[in-house]
Amino acid sequence: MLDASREKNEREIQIPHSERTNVEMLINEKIQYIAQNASVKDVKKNVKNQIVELVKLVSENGLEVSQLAAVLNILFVGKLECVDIKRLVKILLPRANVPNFLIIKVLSNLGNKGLNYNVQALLLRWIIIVYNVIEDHSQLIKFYGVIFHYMEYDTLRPFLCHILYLMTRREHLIDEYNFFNRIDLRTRFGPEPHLLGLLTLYKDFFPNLVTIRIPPIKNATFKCPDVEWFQLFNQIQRKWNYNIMNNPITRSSSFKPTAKRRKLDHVEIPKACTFNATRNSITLEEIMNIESLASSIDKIDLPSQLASVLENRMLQHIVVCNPEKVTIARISYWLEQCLMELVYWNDNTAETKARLNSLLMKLVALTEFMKELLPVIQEFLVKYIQTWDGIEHQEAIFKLLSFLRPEPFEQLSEKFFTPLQNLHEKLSSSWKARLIRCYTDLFTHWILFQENNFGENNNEIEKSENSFLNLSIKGDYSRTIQGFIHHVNQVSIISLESTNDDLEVQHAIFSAFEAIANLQMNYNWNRVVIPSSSIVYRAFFSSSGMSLSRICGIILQYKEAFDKNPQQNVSLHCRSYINYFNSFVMDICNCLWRNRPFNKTDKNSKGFQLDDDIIRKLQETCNEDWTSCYSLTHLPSFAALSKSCIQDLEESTPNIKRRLTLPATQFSLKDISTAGGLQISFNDYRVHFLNVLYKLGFVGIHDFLYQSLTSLSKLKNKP
Amino acid sequence: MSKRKDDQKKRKRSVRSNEMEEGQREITAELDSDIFINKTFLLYRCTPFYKFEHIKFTQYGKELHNFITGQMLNRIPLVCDNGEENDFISEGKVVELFISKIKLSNWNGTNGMPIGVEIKFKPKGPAKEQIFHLIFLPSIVSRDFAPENSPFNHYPVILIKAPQRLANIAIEWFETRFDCRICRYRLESSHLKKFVEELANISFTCDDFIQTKPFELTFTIPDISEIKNIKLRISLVDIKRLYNRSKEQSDSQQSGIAERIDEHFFECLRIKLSSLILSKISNHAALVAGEGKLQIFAGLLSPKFTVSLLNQLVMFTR
Repeated sequence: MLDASREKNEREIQIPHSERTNVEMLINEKIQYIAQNASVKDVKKNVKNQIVELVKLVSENGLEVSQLAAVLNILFVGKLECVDIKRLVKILLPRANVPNFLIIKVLSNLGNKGLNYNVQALLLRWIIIVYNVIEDHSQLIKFYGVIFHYMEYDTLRPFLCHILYLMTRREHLIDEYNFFNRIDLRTRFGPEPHLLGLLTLYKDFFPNLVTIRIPPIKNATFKCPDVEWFQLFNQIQRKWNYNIMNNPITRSSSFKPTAKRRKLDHVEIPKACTFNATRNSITLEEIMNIESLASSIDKIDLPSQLASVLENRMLQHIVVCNPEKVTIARISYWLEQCLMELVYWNDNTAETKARLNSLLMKLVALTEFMKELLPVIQEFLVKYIQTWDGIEHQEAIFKLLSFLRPEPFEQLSEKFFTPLQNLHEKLSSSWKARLIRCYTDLFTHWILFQENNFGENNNEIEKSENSFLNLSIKGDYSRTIQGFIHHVNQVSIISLESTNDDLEVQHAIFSAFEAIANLQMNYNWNRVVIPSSSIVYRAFFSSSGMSLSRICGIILQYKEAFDKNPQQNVSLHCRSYINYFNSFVMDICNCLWRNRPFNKTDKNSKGFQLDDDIIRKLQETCNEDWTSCYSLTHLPSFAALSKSCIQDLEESTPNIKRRLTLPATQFSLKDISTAGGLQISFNDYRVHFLNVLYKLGFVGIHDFLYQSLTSLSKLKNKP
Repeated sequence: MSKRKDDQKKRKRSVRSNEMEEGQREITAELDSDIFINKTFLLYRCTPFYKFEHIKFTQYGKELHNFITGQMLNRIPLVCDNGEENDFISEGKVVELFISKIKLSNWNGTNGMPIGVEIKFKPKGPAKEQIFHLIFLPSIVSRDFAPENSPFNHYPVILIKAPQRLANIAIEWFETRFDCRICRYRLESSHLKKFVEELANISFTCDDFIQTKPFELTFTIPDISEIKNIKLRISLVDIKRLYNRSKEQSDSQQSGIAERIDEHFFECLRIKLSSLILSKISNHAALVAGEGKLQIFAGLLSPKFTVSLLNQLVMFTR
């Protein structure tokens, strides 16, 4: 594989052939001259000059394997001055992979008294620099003991530790006796950073055997020993098309410093370490990326403390893929105690609260990843909600609640919805909106449980795949959802009334009903639950255009859901229920477009269920404006926009003699037209106004009117 | 005392012989129930142990010994140690560590017997060797898994008599070795009231209870900085009298002794003890503190009382 790439690379090399041959010749000549004359005193100066020239040449072109071997031979003969030897070591810049025999040559010269220890250390640095391009690392393992032997040498030790750090695999440490001897390094040489780095690696492999405390090491202990040299080496490799991607010369693993300082405002989560791993074990600590996780997910030894799942994404993947009962139990026991300790067994201090919050946020992250609530968390929530003040840890609690596992509605109501309802009465409008948003999220998550299966008489989830403990949801799942929608309906009505139609609450309610309508449209849900008339009417008469437009959009979605399966609707819903829904469409159209507000004589129209007396009084108040008083151009939610729309039209029309001062009606526009003002019919204006609204984002009202009124769709095509 | 030393020697011999025979065999030696007596234990709660095997006490003992040594000496003991280790002692040295079941008659052993860890420890410096204990009390009922198939063993309560540093190291080892979580076990006021009941009832059965040390109940007053505690000292005779009188007055009412004491003080002194937090109780037999402390005193009642008290501790964790 490597040879093939080398051939290819050589073909693609950018250096012209003639020039290359010339360079090779020069390099070979100079190496040969230095080798032959290293010990000749008379030509010492010449040798030095040759070395300078060689350094220059090699720094640009690097060396072939044979040239590397030749330079190494010169070094080991040791006839040159130390400074020259160091120069030559620095030009050991391989163009391709480094064969093992060169590394072995260096290692076998360790302890060579003829070779200065500083030079030996420099050669070890060279091994570290070229480590990534050594041809066969497995051969080097045989020198593990040899390398250890020279650990006694202070000058060499840091680099030997670095090489061992790069070389060590689990199986190298299995011989306990040697292993213990290695561990004893620290006691013999003291806490040197490179020794601690190596020990940390050993401890990660065998935490049960390496029981000593290793102080935390800031940053990586093993950094590139010579950045400039490494860059030059990389440059040469790249020049000869052996792109090594600028890898730092360190272990690319997930090993991290072990010791963590205990933080008072954080729960201490166990580290994912595997005790009692065997020679053949694959542990989580060795999994470096998602690819290696995928390839060995079924062989990985789980860490000794599974609560580490809270902070370890790789472990989260494993647990999701294989949620065994025992695995879930191990996590659950830990979580249960930790939660109980923080909430019930400790004084409610600021520190405890901070720790609880930190744990809850971790649970949220875990749950969001797993898309399912661990049963133990749901059990905790049952207890916690009963005494919750609604404020503490609000963000986390609402997020966890939005992942509640479906149960029969009555049970959920008793455990969660009723206590939340009690809080709802006491807390702010913003909290009420947050609760409804939480319900919307819950609803959305429930839909995902049963994706698209609602239409297949499969209303009970027996064993959801990927469910922790294969929790079965007893009872009619559809009924739970139906009961829940009714509950959301009720909460929405109370919220609107108690907050005086707060905008944030309205927004939350419409989002909820948009999600519910979506279920009916896209998930074959056939038990349509329409929003209460109270919600529809309040939105219609709201002073916010957003409310009116969105409720129109929601009604349109419901209408489409009904239209989608008319036969089923007849069988599942009584006629009066459908007529009741139709009354929304009729009443809104009558007001907005037909100028027949509160009409009760049209088929299905109910006049917003107002008493005749009230309608009469409204009529008296509005006088002659009565018919248009609740129309698109007059309703408080759109009146200002309509006025601004008229003004824009007038601005864009040249030679206007008179401007419209009254709201746009059939008569006012006719009058102004004859008086030399804006020339537009009322119908054309309304179509134009609807287009303007559409562009402003009021899609709901635009689509609703176009879909509901045949006359309108004939007037203009949708923009 | 000499008997105790003899026992320890015997036990040591027994363990060694077992080690020589086969590491996988269960140790037959047991710790005696007297390890509970006259020691102030700190109480801890513990979640179920995962893959804890009773036949591996020797192995666990070695592992824990190594772990503590590693943590305390900053080094791994080598097989070829040559006596230089004193140079590395930073905090102290484990001389001997021993794990075994505890012989406790009357203990309902459905889920096994309590397990004890005895650590003979030599602190750095001239201080003498000391013996410390960790005692694991098994659960009364098994949870979630059928006992025969369960990979879990539950010891919900741990009693620890050891310096905090040593205790923390041992706790860390148990947590990592058996995937459990250990935290302090604080007793609620209601728990202590039950203990009052327990202590009084047992004391009444004793013939010479008249001569026993009076009951001392310590109440903590929440939210008042001027007064932190109120201590009530009542003789067992008075408690008995109170108990009997109350019983005569209303046979139908089944309130406990603690409630009767509350009522009496309210009637006489208008002090509403039920609004205060009962934080400590003590008498001649035991001292139990809400912060999670237990001391059982030597006495005639002890063997019977010990099991009952320990059972209560386990029950309260449920």
